[in-house]
Amino acid sequence: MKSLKKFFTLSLLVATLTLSPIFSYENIVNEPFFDFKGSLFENDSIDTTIDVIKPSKTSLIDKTNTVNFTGIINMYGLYEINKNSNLYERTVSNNQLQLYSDADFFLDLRFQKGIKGYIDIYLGQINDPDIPTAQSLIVNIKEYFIDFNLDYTSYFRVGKQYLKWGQGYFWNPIDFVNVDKKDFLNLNQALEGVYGLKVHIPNGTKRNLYFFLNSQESDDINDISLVSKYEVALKNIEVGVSSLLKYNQPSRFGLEASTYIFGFDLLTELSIFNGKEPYISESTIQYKPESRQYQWMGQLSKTINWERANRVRLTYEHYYQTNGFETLNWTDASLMDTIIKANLYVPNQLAKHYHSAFITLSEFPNHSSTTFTNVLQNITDGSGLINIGWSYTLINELVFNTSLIHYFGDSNSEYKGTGKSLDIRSQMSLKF
Amino acid sequence: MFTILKISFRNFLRQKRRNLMIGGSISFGIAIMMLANAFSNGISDNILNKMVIYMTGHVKVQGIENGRIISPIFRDKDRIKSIILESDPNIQSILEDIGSLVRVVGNGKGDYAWITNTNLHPDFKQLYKPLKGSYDLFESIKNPIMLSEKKAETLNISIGDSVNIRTTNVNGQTNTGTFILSIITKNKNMFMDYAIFSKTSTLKTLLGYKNQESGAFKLLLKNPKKAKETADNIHKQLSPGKFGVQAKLGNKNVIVVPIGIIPTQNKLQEFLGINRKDVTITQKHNQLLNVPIMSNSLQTTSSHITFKKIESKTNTDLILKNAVKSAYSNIPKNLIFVPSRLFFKTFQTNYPENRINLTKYFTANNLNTNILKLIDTEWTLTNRTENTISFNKKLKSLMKNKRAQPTLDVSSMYETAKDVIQFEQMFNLVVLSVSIILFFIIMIGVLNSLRMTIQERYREIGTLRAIGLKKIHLQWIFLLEMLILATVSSLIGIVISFGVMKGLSLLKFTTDNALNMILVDNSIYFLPTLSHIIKNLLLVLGFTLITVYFPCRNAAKLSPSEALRR
Amino acid sequence: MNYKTTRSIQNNRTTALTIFLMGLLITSSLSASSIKQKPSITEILKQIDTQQTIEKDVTAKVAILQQDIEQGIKQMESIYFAKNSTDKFLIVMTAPESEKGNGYLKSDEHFWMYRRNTRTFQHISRDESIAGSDANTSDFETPKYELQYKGKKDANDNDIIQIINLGNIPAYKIDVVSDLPNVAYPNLTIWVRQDNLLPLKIQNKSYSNSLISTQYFLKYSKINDKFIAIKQMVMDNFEKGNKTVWEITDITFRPIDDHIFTKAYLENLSN
Repeated sequence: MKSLKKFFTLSLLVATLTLSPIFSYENIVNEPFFDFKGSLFENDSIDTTIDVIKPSKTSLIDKTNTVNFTGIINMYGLYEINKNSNLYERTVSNNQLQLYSDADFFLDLRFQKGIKGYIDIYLGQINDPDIPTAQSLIVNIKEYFIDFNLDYTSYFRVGKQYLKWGQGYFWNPIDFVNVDKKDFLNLNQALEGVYGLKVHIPNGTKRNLYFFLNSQESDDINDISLVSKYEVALKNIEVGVSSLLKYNQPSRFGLEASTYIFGFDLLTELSIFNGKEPYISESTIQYKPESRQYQWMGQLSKTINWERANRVRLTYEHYYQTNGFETLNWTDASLMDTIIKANLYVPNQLAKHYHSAFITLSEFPNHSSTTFTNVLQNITDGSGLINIGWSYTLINELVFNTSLIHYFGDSNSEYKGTGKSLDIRSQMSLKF
Repeated sequence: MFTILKISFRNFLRQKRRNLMIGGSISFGIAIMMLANAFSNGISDNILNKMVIYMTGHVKVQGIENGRIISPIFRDKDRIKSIILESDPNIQSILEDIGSLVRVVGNGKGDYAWITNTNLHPDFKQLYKPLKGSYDLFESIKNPIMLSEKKAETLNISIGDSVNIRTTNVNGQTNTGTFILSIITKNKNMFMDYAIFSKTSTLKTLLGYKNQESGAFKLLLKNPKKAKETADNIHKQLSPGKFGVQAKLGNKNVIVVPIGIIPTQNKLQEFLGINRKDVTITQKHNQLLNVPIMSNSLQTTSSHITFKKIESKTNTDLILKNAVKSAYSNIPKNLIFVPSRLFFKTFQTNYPENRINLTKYFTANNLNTNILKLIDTEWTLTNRTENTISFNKKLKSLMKNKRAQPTLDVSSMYETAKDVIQFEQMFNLVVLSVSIILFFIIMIGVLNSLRMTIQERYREIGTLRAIGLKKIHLQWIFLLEMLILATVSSLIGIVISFGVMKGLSLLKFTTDNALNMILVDNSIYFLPTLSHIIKNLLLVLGFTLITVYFPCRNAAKLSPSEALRR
Repeated sequence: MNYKTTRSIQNNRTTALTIFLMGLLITSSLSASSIKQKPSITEILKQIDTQQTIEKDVTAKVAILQQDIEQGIKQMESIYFAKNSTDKFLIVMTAPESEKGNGYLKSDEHFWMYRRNTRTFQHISRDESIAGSDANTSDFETPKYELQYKGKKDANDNDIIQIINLGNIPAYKIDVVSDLPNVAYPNLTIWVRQDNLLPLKIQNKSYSNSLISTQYFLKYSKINDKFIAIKQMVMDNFEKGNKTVWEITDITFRPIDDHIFTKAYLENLSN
């Protein structure tokens, strides 16, 4: 009850703080707009030079050193309606309400010639309802890096960084870099980076070459991996080839392509590597002999004009991996532990087959709202979840989001095995 | 093979409890798909055949210029009208259909709407009974409008209030008008919320139609069931001829003709005696660009072509610039070939009074009819389309082409309703997405248990393999068993869906709101089709086959000893 | 329903608006030689046309403030680079906060949308849609006032030009008409400065001669002897209360280096 009160007080405070600028906008608009008495001609900004505008020499970007501090504060209210489950040897208690919040603070430093520094500090609470005392604060630096370039011909980023490596909306088989995975229920969340050096060498608008030296968890030089990618835009298709090279480890190769055909946007990612396909036999993990493995993602999306341009967006993604599990009892706690210990556990990516669909109706039912339905299903065991929600933008900086999440499937399946049945989730995000 | 089928069938009958469970789910899944299909199909049918009539008539004939499908126009309405009337005795009446998308501003509130004319037919008055205001008021004033209760509420207006309407007229110009609210009706259906009715003459002024011009023609038929045949007959009669405009160049009588696609250098040389280098030809459509061609022997100093307009009987000019003169002797002396685009641009907005049928002219004057082939027709006629989808495609391609030459289109109520199509498709898409997602969720669950049951039966597989059954046979035994199961339960599901449809359509709803749209005679309207049944059946069987094939193959691959051990 | 035709630019999405307005606005005017005699209407229209020729390379900052009675107030700011000769552009949004750092890069048929919060480049290979907006290439065709409009004449076939003060600025006021198809506003009333014929105010009127919107040219700046309207406002007179103000700053027409039009530079600018 106390936390509920805190929630409301905070919301009220936030609302008051952020609503006040509205009135100042009003003033701008209502000021006498057309006063011919004033000077109609600005002092001539005489620009007689015919120098070429170079990346380093444009008047548009403030050359002075700037510090920009922004952030996002999220408050969550989550009500879970559960069915009992024995997963992880504990019973998820019956229906429960959780209130918690987290925040990301971004510090953006800009120096001359495109040199930049960036830090993302995350503050959150450990929220385990079974351990009431566990509500302690976590501080985590999700990202910190420095950007620099060689006369705008090659760009470097060094530090802890989250690198977008592939275009998939939910699955990225060719992502050979990141450790942190997307959360299906919070797709826009800032993710945690990995340590390394990124090099980006653009060759015109249509060709790009990228390298990433990944030093995450590297104790000696042999642990460093090299990820590279070459990307080219051809007539109406953009293709990219990538690879992961690491000492004493099998290499991985990736292929991605995106195009527009028959009224649909198509996108695909494929990664190829040599590995062993795991399977479960008598509650233990066994491996098939090493062979060529594939991870594949295909995406089909379409935007529909309904009263306004691109108001409806439909996206379908299919994920398949040869090295996923075909049968898995998700309530077998010791088995799950083994999987986690064997470093095989990747959320939403453990079974062979998955698919997901995202339907977004923007400006529906009114201008400030967006209605969405997202579905994720493990095809291999049939379980999944549906997230139907509504997000309301109170003002640009304050967004209220509420959704209903229904979990379905057999009691020992991936999404139902946790004992979850229905969640009512609301989130208030404040950007500043 | 027969033995395998027998074994499969025996297995199918043996596993009663399991089959009942899986089959039940399949039946449920397919029943849901059937219901969703029939429901959305019913709504489409309801929209297209029961409501659209009020919007588009049983048959619609329209002329499109410059790709503006939103504002069709006939420049000489009486001529087209007489051609239509002569083509089929089934035609009862022809109505001018004048309509446009507009922005309406009431008391401080604005909204979009579709404004259209009403013929005030008794059927119409019967359908849209006034809630407030009256038809007497509507008929007595010059600029009345009629709209739905909901629209009036949105615009914050009541009877007697004036509203401002802004739109783009047939010439692509912005126009505005003030209208007076005369009738408020109940929301009979979704479209009524969107439509605003006014008088034909007032709307013609607002939308910039001249006296002899008209929007599309809505045809009401004596026998609406023969709409397709009637449309086909009209289509035949409307096949275009070649025509020229009688005009004067200086003091000489000339005939101006449109020249269309230039085929090859040879033909240009052969028929007109012109070198391709002398004229500019567009890369894309191989068309002549803004250079008129005329005979060398047409001796004149004037470059003004004057012709009589049908509208005001006054003369208008067309100025010839950079004309190419052909020294070729076979070229008809008083013909001036004007590039199609320029020709139609000039003569569409200023419709000429004196036109000459060139086919007759050429035979009468013994001219080389090969030259006639280079001349464009008075209009082009689109092909008849079978259904909404192809009709929609046709409109889209018209919109893209943006031809100055008019395109005539004949459509029956079975294809029309371009305004409604988007809504209808949107609705179908949503219903289909939802039902497909639901279907897949159910099917994936079902098929997973199917696969489990195969894995449970490894011992049986071992036995069968031990007694000498081949792998391929074993695979077939399982596949067939599953296919039998899927087929039987699908069929049951289809029967169930028909039962449910029958049951649901027996329920009577009395409602006056938007829900009305999905109701026919106060009950929900389902329209299942054979193609839906076949599609759904194939979907289930295909899905079963794909999912079961691999576990079946894997099971069959096991050696007898291995299978027995598991 | 197809709303495209009548939906005004106010309701388009941010990018579309920026691009569309830039297309209309990045214009240069003739060296404004001082005019002593009373000009003809044709000369005035010609002057407006010259002012609307798009330069090959443009860099500028664009700020747009929209007030819509239904949708409230929207404020948008962006940095804009365009190389019209090679059909390339790069736009980075700088306001509002929710759009800040998002960018758009175009080269021929390829279009990339950059989202700052996910650091994604979404590739769209479609020519016809610019950021899924209603703006397309035909929107960039600038109107030719001289060809489209004719001035009103008196009984002696002389142009009717009123000499009038707008505020405290001596101006000429003219009424022009168009009978050509696809000219959105068949009637215009135009006020231009007497000294250099730069437009001050244009009233857009419908076929039935009712006022639809008014365009104010609030501020000009001089670059390389050319005048540029750097602050404009459009008032909606049909639905009163809707208004759009846009302002261009830091504008230049200097050639732009190709290194600007890269994903890397966009990412570098954004963040």
